[in-house]
Amino acid sequence: MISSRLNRVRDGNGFSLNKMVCLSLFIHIVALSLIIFSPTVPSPKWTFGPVYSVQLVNLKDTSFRGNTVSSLSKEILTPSPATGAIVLKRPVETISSVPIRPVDVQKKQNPQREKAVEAVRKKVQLSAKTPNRTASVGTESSAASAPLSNTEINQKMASYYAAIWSKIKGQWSLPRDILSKENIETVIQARILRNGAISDIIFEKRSGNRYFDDSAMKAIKKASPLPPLPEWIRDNSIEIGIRFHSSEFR
Amino acid sequence: MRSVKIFIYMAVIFFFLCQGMEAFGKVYLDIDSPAFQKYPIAITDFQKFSSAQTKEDLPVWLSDTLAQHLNMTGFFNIINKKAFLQDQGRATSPEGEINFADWTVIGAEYLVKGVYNQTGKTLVVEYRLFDVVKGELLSEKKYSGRMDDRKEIIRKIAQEILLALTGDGSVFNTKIAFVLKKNQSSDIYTINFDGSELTQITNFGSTTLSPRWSPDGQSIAFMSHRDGNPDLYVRRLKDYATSKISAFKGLNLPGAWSADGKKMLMTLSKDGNEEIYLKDIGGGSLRRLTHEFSIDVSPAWSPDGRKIAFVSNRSGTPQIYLMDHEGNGVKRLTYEGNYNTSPAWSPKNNRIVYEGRKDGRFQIFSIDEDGSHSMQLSPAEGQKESPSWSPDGRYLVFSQKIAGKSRICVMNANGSNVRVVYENVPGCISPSWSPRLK
Repeated sequence: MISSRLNRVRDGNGFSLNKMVCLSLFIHIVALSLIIFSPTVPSPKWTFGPVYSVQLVNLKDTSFRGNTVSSLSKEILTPSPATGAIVLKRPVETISSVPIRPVDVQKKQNPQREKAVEAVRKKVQLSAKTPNRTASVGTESSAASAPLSNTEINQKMASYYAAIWSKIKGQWSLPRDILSKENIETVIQARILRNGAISDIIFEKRSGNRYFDDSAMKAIKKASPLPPLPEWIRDNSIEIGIRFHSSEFR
Repeated sequence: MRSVKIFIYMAVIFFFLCQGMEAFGKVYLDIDSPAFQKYPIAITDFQKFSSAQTKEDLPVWLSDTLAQHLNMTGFFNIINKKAFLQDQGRATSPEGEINFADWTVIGAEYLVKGVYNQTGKTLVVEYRLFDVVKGELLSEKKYSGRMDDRKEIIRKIAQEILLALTGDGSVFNTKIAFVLKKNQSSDIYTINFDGSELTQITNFGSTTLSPRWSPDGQSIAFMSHRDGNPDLYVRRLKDYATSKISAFKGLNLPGAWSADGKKMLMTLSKDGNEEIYLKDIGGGSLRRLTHEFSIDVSPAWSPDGRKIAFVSNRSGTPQIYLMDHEGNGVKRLTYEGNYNTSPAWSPKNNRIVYEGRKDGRFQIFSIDEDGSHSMQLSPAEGQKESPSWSPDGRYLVFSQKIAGKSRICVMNANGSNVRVVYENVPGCISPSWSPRLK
């Protein structure tokens, strides 16, 4: 029915400028409202981005740090999964369309956002009068005190990303002494297919050091194929970014 | 009616938006440090040209010697030949097609193949370096020389491979000067990075110490008691022409050449106690940079020549200090330990290495110019002294005394991969790394 109405408009059958203006206006309103309101709502980067940066540093600690993940994302995911899903995915589109800057912007924004989330959560928890939780301020401590009832999806994702993280790291070889002293970073974007094969490997950000970039690219290529995508991921492929940096290394 | 339409449009828009959002959010994984700090490289036995008549052990000698040289750099993990999936005979023909997957599956990132031809005393060696992950040829070269020069050919190949994979292969083109004690006298010797070609530079039959390379690598400055007083000399390596640069009463100790080779920092005790001076080597003008009643010695330039690191005991114990090239703005750098000497400034950055006494033994430490990131580089065994940087800033040479033996050792700048370059019972001390040699 909808399409027939739209078709009629397109065909010029009963075409009027007013209608087109209306349509255009509302598309703009919807788009604008989404852009304006989305930053106030937790973005998926909080659930995925910083979460995995922390969590994957130490594999042995996944269960403990997995709690960090869920406690942060719990409020985002649990209250209303349906609307959450819509809002959650909005910023992804924006970021994938801007290849370089989002990495930096995202990194800078995250701590602030994280703080804001923490503040909001603290308020909520205070009003709910749950003394156990209000004591937690930092991410780690909140994780420690959080109950084990995590959303299953988070745990699964955590273990999957941990697996691919360790496989890629395990293939990365680079002599330290050929780097300069400054911290450098390279970001590579890749697509993991259902069978675990890696495709569309491209540099999202180059470090400026050819040998560093090369070694990072090699690590990903050598890590292919990665473990196949878990069944609960409905897409045929997922896109990931891998940030290689020399900070710990130096 | 219009509002109904609006709602319908909005519904349609949301529907499509939701459809587009089915994909999962893009996740960023952070990887802080590599699992391995060495490039995995496979080196096949060098294959002789089909018609060539050669010694049977040469294919293995060439590949093993190349492996040894690459191993010295500390940048390579040489993959054991037993792990190779391809038959050596078939695999080593560079003309043959390479199945790169056979190499990546055993963990290699790079592959070296070579062929050689020996006719009489002439040896021709050709190598090819492949990136097996990308499936690319990275570099290839052919060298010809005398059979006796085969080690030199291998050194050149190692240099090319190091250059291709790390951007600097110059370390194979450097020498290390050091002092070798014999009975009551000592003399300056040089040796290659790989420990070959020990060469005697001085033979004065007296105490000769403290070799310092000129920036062009053609001369060495040193202090010798040849004429009784500890005077400062410069000897040209080409013809051993020697000139006396400084002969004040008391100590005349070379510190460091300036980058243009025209000036030299030195320690003189002509005014009563040891102080640091800057002297024009050609012209002879002399400027005193330190003015303390304490001892000031061992000056070392920063790479840009604007600062000088030196040792002073003005605070009671020997410590490392920094000052500008005019001798102003003196700042103490080291506070840990009560005996820190022999500073050497990295040619590439703001890192300074020195010897420091810890638990009664001298060890090599490094510290940033601003006093941060202080750390011990060398493992604890034995006494280690006189660190000196390689010109690429990747390695350090130092002297070590352990179990009654005296050694000249080389290690990577992070303290790993310690390797003995020369070992001698009576004593070898005070190593100094040459610049890149022609």
